[in-house]
Amino acid sequence: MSTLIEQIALCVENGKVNMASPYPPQMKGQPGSDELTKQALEENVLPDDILNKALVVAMNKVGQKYSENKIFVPQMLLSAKAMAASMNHLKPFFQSGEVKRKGTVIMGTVMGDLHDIGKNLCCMMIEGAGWEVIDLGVDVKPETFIAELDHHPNAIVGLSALLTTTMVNMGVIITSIREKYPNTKVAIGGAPVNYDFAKQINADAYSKNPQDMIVWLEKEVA
Amino acid sequence: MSVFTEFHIPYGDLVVDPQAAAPMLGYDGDMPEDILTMVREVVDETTGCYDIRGGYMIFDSVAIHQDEHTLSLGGSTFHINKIITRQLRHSTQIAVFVCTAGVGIEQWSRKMLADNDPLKGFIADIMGGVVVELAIDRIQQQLSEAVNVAGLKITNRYSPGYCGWHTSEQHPLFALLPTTLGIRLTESALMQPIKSVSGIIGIGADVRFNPYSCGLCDATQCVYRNKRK
Repeated sequence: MSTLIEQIALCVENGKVNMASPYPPQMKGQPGSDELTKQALEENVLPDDILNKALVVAMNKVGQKYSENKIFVPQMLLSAKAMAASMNHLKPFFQSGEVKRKGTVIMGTVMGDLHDIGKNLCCMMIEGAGWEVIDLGVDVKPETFIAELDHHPNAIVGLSALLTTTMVNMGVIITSIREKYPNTKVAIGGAPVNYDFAKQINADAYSKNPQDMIVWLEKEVA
Repeated sequence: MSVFTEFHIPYGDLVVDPQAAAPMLGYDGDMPEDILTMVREVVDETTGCYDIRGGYMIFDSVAIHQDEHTLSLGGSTFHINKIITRQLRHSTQIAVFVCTAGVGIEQWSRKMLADNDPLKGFIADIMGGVVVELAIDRIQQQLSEAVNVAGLKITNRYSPGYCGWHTSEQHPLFALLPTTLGIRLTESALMQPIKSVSGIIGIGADVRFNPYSCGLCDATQCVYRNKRK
C-alpha cells in the first residue's frame, strides 16, 4: 500500500484535486490532493515532506512530461490546481517559517504587453517546484520590478513577452534593475525571444518553457 | 471619410465551436473527450458574459509610402512596417476598426484563476479571444459586402503589435475614430477590455485577401502561428 506522500504525489501528477472532481476519469470517486494532504497533516506527516517529497516531485514530473509533449496545457493546469489545493493546507506552515521555500521569484509580463497565459503557467510550475512566486501581472514597468526587489532584494526576476514589439522592453527593464541591483539574476521567456536575444540584453537565462526555468533555478541559483 | 458603422452582435448569432480552443491548448487535432467536456462547460457557463460590439470607419484620403513603410491617414502617419505596407499597397481607402467582447469574459476568467481553477480560467481566456475574432470576422464580412457593391475588395486585417507594427501607434489609431465603443487604452497602448481587437483593412479594386495570412509574418515562433487557418 502506498504512503500518503506517494498518494498525494500521484494526485498532483494526475490532476486529482478532491473527491468531487471527476477528473481524471480513472480516479473518479477517490480522494484527491485536498483530502489526502489534510489527512497527512492530521497524521503528523511533516509539512516539509509534503512539499518536497510529494508536491515538488510530482510537479517536476509534470513539467518534464510537458516539455516532452507527453501531456498538454490542460493536464498541466489540472496538476497545478491539485498542487494548489494541497498548498492551501501548507500555508500556515509557510507563514510560521516551519516550511522554507527555495527562494523568491518575481514574475511579470513586460510593459506594453498584456499576454499572461505563458507567464501564469510558468508561475504555477515554479511555485510547484518549491519557490515563492510574486506575480506582478501584465504591463509591468521597470519601477514596479524595482519596488518589489526593494522588499525581496535576493529575489530572482522572470520576464515574459509575446510580441516582437514588446520584447525590446525586456532590455530596458533589465538595465533599470541592474542600476539598483547589479547582482539580480534575470531570466526571460516568451514566443519571440531566444538564447541570442537573452545574451544581447544581458539576461542571465532564456527559458523555452517552465521546466527550463525550473532547471535553471535549481542549477544556477538554488 | 464615412461615418462610423457600428455593430452590436448578440453572442447567440456567433457559431462558437469549442474545438476552436484545441490549438491554443496545445493539441494538433481534436481535443480528448474529457477536456472537450470541460471546454463545453466553460462555453455554456460564460454565454451571458459577453457584450460584443464593434465597428469601422472608412478613410478615403490614404497615402501609402512603400519606401518608408508608412501609411498616412486622417492627418497621422503610421509606421506599419514592410509586410503590412506590401499587403496594403494597392489600397485606395482604409477602414479603421475596433471590436470588443466586453469586460465580462475577462472578469469571469480572472475569477476562476483567483478561485484556483486555472484550467477554466485559461479556457475562458482562450474562448474570449475566439469570440472577439469571430465577431470581427463577421464585421469584416459586412465591410466586404458593403464595398463589393462599388466593385471594391478588401485585404486582411492588420493590427498594431503584429507584423512589426508597434503597439504604441494604437493611440493615434484610436484618435481617428469618433468612438471606440468603451475600449480604453492604457499608457502603454493596451486595450481594456483585454478581449478587444483594433486595426486597419485596405480597400481597393486591386487589393487581395489572403485566406492564410500567418505565412506573411516573420514572427516564426509566434504562438498564434498556424492556429488560425
